[in-house]
Amino acid sequence: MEAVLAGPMYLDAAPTAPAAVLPMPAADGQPDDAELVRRCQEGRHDAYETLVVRYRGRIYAMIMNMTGNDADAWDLSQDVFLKAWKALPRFEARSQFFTWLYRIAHNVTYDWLRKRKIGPGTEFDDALGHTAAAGAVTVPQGSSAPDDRLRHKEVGARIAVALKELSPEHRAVVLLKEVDGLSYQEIADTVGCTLGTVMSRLFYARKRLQTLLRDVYEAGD
Amino acid sequence: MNATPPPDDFNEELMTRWIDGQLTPAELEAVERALAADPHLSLEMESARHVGSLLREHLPAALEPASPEFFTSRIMEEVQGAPVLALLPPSKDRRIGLMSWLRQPWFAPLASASVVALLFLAANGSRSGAGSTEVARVYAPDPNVVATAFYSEEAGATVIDLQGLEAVPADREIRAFDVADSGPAAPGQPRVFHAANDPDRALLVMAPDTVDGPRFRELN
Repeated sequence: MEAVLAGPMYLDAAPTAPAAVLPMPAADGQPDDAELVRRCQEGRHDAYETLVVRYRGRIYAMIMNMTGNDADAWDLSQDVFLKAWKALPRFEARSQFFTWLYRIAHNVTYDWLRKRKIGPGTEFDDALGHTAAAGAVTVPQGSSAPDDRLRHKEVGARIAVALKELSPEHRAVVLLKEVDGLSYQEIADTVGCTLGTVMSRLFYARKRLQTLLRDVYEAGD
Repeated sequence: MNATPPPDDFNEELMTRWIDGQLTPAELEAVERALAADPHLSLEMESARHVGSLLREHLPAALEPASPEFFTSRIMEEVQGAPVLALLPPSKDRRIGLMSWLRQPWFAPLASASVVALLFLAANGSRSGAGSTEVARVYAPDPNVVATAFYSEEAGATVIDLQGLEAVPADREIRAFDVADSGPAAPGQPRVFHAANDPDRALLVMAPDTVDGPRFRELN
C-alpha cells in the first residue's frame, strides 16, 4: 500500500523534536546506508551485518514500545531484519533505508498486534510496564536517587498502561513522532497513510494520553 | 469551566503543528493570539507538550536487545542461508506484494499444472539416513512465507511447514523439490537447480524477472 500524500506542505524542523536523529550516522570509516544497501544487493552479507548492528537498537526499541514485551520485541525484531533482507532486492533508492526498515517493522508489529488483538487489560503485565530484558542496554536516564528511580519506574509503568489504551494505529503514530522523532512525512511513509491521517491520529492520541496521564505530569510539575 | 471555543481555523492540524513547533511565523502569531484569549485552551495545549516530554523521558528511542551479538549472529545465520538475494537485481518496476508472484500471468500455467509453491531443499538437499531425512535448508520464493522442515518420526516423513501463505485454492498443490544448490548464476542469467540425488537431472530454472521477482519454470 503506497502512501497517498495530500494536503499542505509541512515544515519538518521541529524545535521540540526528540533527540533521535535518523538515519543513524555511520561510524568513523563505515559506509553510509546507501552504500551498504548497494553492497547487500550484490549479495554481501557483511554489509547487511553492519546495517543490523546499526539499526537493531532502534528497531528493538520501537517494537518494545509498541508491544510492551521484551521477548516478543526480540522475536519480532528478528523477523523484521529477516524480512528486510529478503525484500532488499526490491528496495529502491526512492526512500531512505531507515524509513523503509521502519515500515517493515511497523507492518510486522501491527500484524502481530492485530492477530493477538491486544486490548486494554489483556495480555499485558502492568507490573512490568516497559521493563526491558535483563541483558538489554539502554541509555542512562541520569537519575540516581532511589526515590527518583522508583518514581521513574512507576511513571514508566503508567505510560505503558496508557499506551495500551490506544489503538495500535494511534500508538504507532504518537510513538514515531514523540520517541523516534520522525517527521510527519516519514510517519506517513512508515505506516502507509496520508499526512492528514497522521495529523488526525497524532492529535487524538495526544488528547487521549493527556487524559490518561494528567495526574502523572501534573504531579511532576 | 467555560472555555471560549477556538476560532474556526484553529483546527487539529494547526494544534498538532503548534505542539511540534512547526507553524509558520504568521500561523504562530494567530495561534498565540487565540491562546492568550483562552486560558483553558492554552492549558490544554501546554499539557499536550507535557505528554510528549513524558514519553521522550521514559521510553527509549534506542535499546540494545538482550544478547545483542547473539541477536545479530542469529539473523546472519538465516541470511547466509538465503542464496536468492544476489539473483534479484533491483528493478524500477518491481512491485511488492504478498504472493504477488503467484498472481502473475506467467504463473498461471504453473498453477494449472498444480504447482503452487516452490520449495527447495537446498544446499546439500536432503540427506537420507537410516530411516530418516535431514533437510539442510528450505526456501520459499515468497519472503512473506516462512518455510521450515523437520523429520516426523510418527509420520515417517519429512514435514514442511509453511507459515504466512494466503488462502490457497483447494485445487492447487504444494510441491517440494529436492534440489542441490547450484551456486550463484551469472547476472541476468537463469539459474538451474538439479536434483539432489542426480546432479545431471535439471529440475527447475529460475530466472530474474524485470517486474515481479523470480520466474520459475519446471523442467520435465
